[in-house]
Amino acid sequence: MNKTEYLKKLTDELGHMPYGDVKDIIQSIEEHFEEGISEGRSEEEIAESLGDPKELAMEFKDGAKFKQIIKKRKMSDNFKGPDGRGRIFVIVFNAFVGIEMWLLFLAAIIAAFMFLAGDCAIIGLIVAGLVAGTLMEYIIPFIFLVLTLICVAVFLIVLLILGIKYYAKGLKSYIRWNKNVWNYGLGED
Amino acid sequence: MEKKDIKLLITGAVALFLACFMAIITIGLFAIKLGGKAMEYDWKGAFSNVTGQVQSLGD
Repeated sequence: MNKTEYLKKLTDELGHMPYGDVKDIIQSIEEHFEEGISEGRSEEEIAESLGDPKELAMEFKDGAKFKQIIKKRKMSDNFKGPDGRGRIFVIVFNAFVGIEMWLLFLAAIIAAFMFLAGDCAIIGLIVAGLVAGTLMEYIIPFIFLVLTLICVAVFLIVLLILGIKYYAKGLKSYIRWNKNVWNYGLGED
Repeated sequence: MEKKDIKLLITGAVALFLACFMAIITIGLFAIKLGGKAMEYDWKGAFSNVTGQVQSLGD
């Protein structure tokens, strides 16, 4: 497959991406072809080294940058089997730091959730007391207390939404990083 | 961080600020109310009762 054919196939595969992104991708691949040709490689060789246009397009759709893809390709080309040190690192790091850290974050999220439940229960009790008339003597301070607790509840809800979202995101990236170190090692000699 | 998250974060920060502000007012209001009660309370009578009880125990 020559450069024109490769770029055409890639453009077809990138079809649903925004025009600006497709333009940038095509430009970076054209530059890659030009660099390769100046080094004396043929268009076919370069196209082959880039791999299947469909797979390349998938990587771009996943949000990867061209430099990252090339780096990954080089890593897998030079890959000589799993790195034992990387696997030991993953086991030791997770045993003493990783798992504890994620459990601690999870405990913080559960604690925030329990605080929220307690907060709502107290609001309910005070409102019930005010409605029943048992707290009428202290009505103004208790109204302010309810308002304070409502603000605390809003803060805790925001904390929980953001906490759960970024916990999930962070955990996903952490697992991906672990997989990478497990399969390819730490990447340094 | 997405724009939506930043909005949420600002909401949380405002809620926390308001909670602190309201908490100070609430503590102040409770202090005024309970202080007033304490002023009205018959401390002398209460203590004289206790003194009487202690004395009767001694006898």
